[in-house]
Amino acid sequence: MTAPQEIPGLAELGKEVPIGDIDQELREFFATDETVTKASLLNLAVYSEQSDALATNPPIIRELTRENACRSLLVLSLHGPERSVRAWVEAHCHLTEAGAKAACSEQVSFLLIGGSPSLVRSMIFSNTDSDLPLVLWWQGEMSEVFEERLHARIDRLIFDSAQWATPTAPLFRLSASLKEGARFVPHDLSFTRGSALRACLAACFEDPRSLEALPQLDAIEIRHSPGQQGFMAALWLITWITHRLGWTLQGSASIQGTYLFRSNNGRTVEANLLSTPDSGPALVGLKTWGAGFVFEASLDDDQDYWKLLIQFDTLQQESLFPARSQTPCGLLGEILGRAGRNRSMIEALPRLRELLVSN
Amino acid sequence: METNPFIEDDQRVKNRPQACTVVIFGASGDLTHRKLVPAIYNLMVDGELPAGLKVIGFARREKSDEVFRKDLEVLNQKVSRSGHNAGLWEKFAGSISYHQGEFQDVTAYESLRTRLDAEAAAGGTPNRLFYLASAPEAFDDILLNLKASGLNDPIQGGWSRVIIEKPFGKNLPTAKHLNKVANEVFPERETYRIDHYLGKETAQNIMVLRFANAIFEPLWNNRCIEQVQITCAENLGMEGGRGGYYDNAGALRDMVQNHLLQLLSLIAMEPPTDLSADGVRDEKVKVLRSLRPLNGPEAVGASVVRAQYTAGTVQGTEVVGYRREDRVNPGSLTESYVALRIFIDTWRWAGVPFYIRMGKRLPKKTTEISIHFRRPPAVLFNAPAVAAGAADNVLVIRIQPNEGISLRMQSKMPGPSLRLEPVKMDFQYSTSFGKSSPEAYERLLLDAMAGDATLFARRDEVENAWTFVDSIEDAWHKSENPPKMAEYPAGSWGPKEADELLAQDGNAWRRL
Repeated sequence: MTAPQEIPGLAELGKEVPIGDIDQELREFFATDETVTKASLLNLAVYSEQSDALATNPPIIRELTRENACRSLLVLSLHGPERSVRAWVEAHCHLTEAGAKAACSEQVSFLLIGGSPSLVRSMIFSNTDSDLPLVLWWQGEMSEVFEERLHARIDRLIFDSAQWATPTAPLFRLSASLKEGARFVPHDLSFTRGSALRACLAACFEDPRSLEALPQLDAIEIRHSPGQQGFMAALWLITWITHRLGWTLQGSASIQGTYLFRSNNGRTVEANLLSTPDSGPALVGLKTWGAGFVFEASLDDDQDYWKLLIQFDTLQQESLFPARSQTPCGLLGEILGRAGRNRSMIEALPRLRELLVSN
Repeated sequence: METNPFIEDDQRVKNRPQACTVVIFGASGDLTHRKLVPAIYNLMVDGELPAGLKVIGFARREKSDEVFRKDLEVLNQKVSRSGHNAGLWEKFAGSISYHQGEFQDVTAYESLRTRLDAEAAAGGTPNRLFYLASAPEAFDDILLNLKASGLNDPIQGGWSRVIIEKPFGKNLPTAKHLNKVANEVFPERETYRIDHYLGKETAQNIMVLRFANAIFEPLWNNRCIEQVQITCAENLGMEGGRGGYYDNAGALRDMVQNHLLQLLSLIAMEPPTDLSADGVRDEKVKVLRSLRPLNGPEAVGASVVRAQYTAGTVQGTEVVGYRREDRVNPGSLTESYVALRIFIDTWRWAGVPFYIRMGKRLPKKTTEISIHFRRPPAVLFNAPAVAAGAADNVLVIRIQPNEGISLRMQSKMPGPSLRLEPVKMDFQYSTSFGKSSPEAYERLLLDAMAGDATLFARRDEVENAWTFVDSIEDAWHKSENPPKMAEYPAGSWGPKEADELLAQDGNAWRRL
């Protein structure tokens, strides 16, 4: 249990306001200053049970709102003997390109102590900007707060399976919710960490020669940083690749991170997830090869770009592809920037669970 | 496998460019340095370029690859949208080379072909995209030599395309000639006439606004729309030696024939049957075919105003009149301003005037389209006693700068009395989406690499636009009693004759 005076970041949350005055206080931001204008494309609720969340999240939101105007609702829920609710309002303003006005995104922060799932729901639902989609960024382990009455009202759910001690159970829970008709689109930050590499692969196989070589792949090797973050990103990547190719899982080798797949033409393909000794970005490299063909992606020294190498026998072609930001803000921006149409992750979710339980 | 399994659903809706070699003719010019190469660089920074893309600059000056790259780098540092990263540039520059040759010299094209063929044989891309960024006088030579050297013929497994920069001719005969030459060398489906206005985000959004929202299309006709205004205002004059080109073109040819008639087509077109290039362009060209012709000096004089600016003050600086500008003929009869009243003779638009104005040395730089809706019946809140001074509903599409859309409507002023005032709902790209829009050239280059010609002008679009414009030019320059050339002080909103043109219909130019 954390005493309120020990919770970091409260002093930086803007103006503390009574719960009933939040709307009024938000309006006042824009009523008095003609050089600012409100901007919002969505409601972003950020839920956490980690005591430093109200210190770590506002800087992310400030950065995120440069390109993704939203009303953010930051919720920190802590256990405590007595129920208490506090709220703060703040605006993140960024000068527009035209320069005449600053576009401001509203931020409402809540500290809930001794609360319940219904209190969390009530704080989020009573403070959303009407008619705009509701995106929930769930931080940390799934708790009982994530229940049907909450997820029935959200459009997109963002989480990070790398933060889960055992991802199998919560992923099963998510799958079950979706099967039961939940309409939210899930986004795992671990899946998003591989988005640049997925785009690299897509670009590589636009070339008809590469496409022709695809059924002849013999092996796939993914290098990742040590720890859960790197492993989950690599696992998602191999999940996605094999799912897209329609391969089936034959089994896993005794070595951690090695899987055997059967391709559509009956070949056995070995996939290895290799942990590098250095910490750094979750994914460090991807190599796949077959008869006379190699595709390799590796991060450049500055980690800003992926260096792609496509090799057919003696012919070699190199190119660059942006590595995309791996910060929480960069990952969130990537998800929000792709709207809600991409169902690649949902479709591959059963395969991920299959791999998780097999190794 | 027939299709790439790694393309995700949301990526299928966007054009996927194919690797190619972009050969830019006129590689020493301003367009290459300020627009084209920075656009390709920015595409690379954003990860939009296909792997294996190469750029070859073709021009007459002797120059090494290194010098060419350095020249490009100097400009890229100044103008690149995403800034300039020396490390990235170095990697990008590795894909750029220079090919020296005279546009008229077929051997230069033959050596270019030898080079491209050798690269393709060694596993490089077989696709070729030729960009005509030279002076228009060289277009014929370049096109014919591309044919003579066989560069127009796609090699196995590849394609060969051409992008042609405006102007697409100086009038209908020259446009037809250019189209004829171009189509003798490249099939129409591989010919991309670039109009950078169509690459602007807001221009692309016109169709989305109209056809992706249920609330506008039912009102988009002569029953609900009173008039449409398209304004392209520039505060610049003839700086930087522009006078030489401009005095031979004029506002009508330079802007109306291409950019503004393209915008008009997007506003007035019927819903296309699909979003294919020809689906969209079929509907646009129908609009151009339906423009009521202005034949003869009387018809032109009644619906078109041309003018030149006289000395005045623009944004606090005193400027000279048009005829005293650098490289402008002191006796010039070229218009720096034109205003037109156009009718589109279709069921949808019968009786609705479309007013177009374009001018140099106006008070500010802006391009906007405004849709003016008819007023409600003069009863209740619109009874004369209540609605004195009330304004009509106006939907404004701002093309540049400050891209966005606004809607003006009537609202009751707070207070005990019933007083109506216009208020504005405003959508701005920059505040809603935050991120900056890509440059028009970036989008258009990608589309050409992907083989999508939707945002490029088709041959019949160009020729129909010239047919309309030529009748006006003929009245001005070939008739015995041409309509007069009006004047306006630099820094004003144009000649009074242009105001009178709208006043005849009981309308006025929108305040910008």
